[in-house]
Amino acid sequence: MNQVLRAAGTLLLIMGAGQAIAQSDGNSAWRAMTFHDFRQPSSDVLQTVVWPDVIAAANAYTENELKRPLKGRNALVTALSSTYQLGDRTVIISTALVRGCDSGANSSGAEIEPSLCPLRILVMKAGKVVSSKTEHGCYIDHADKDLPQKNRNDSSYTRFDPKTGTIALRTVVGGKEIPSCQRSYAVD
Amino acid sequence: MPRFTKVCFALSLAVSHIFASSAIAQRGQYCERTNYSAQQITDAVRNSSLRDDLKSTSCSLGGLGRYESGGNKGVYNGSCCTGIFQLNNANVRKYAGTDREGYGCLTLQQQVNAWANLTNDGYNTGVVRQLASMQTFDGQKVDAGFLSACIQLGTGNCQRMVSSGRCSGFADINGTTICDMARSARAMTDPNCKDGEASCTQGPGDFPTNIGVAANPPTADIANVVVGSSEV
Repeated sequence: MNQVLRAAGTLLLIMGAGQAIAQSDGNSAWRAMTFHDFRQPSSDVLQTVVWPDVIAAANAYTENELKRPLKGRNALVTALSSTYQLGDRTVIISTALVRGCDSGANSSGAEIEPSLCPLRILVMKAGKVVSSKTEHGCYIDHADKDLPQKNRNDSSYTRFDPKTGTIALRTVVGGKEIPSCQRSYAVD
Repeated sequence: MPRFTKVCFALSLAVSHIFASSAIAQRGQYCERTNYSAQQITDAVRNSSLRDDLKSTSCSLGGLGRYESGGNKGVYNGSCCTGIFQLNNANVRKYAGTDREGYGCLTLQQQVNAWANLTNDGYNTGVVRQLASMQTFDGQKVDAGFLSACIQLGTGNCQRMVSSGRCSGFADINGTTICDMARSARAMTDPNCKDGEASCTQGPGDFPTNIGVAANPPTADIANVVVGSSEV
């Protein structure tokens, strides 16, 4: 049993190192944003620095309006993020599914659409925020295991161009590129 | 087998596979199947936090629930949407704080409460305000049912319709427009349902007349006649 755990731990370490290399070298390639579920509170920078206000608002809504006790957990808030390392600076791009998002049609004849949500771009250095701004970006995830086949790879992507200092975004839903989700923002 | 026949055979296999795959993901059912009537849905709307001016035509909202789900609160359309008002997956998370399956198993009132909060938020968007200031849109009367249909099909999609100036400016994949949805909801309303008196006289944005004035007075700056407390 211990041997199995040790082998699994070693594998995770190798995978983690591989990911770190990919992050430092892969700035110019499109990268699928990583999915996060904030229900389990943590000291992660996304929960404590990027989206604490959104988590607090969702917790208040769940407890006060839905009358559902959270018992030390957070409300169901999900987010996507990409992180780029530029020397001693870390650039975080993240979008969260919140009440302010426009999430498309609610109808028996509708299909899955991306949500247009707040997008936060933060630059951090030595653990401190040196710049931040809020824009809009498309949110889509495929965390739901019962999605139709064509939606099981739905994703939002980012690509950072270090030469121009811009971040580009695109979203694919049902195998199709969503034109309104193609955006580009300068990283300050 | 001739080459052309082989190609046709392969194509038909591929097509049947696609249909089979999509059939797996098609309509589903969570918890019990229900058949709530338009009146029962209307009653739940009246007991929800929906803003008063939209509640004033809650009979058509009961019709909207029947139109969307046939009164079955656990129905999943196989793609985006679940429940009495067919909330999409994203709005289920945001407004009900649960996933699709959890939402399908909530009570009718809990589902309607989440939908009411979504609709109230949608009412505050620019496009709904713009619509609410119109008497008609492309020949359709703009009433609470029409505004609800605009929010129901998504305020971004509704903006496309308003920008085009035509009902046909937005349609879902089945070709359903916001105008179609509003018409269908009215048609599926319980014929015996009685809206508040306000529905006969109140246009969108008017002061609600279906609730006591003392409970909901206008502020002094928008009142036509201001009476001081000593003058009462």
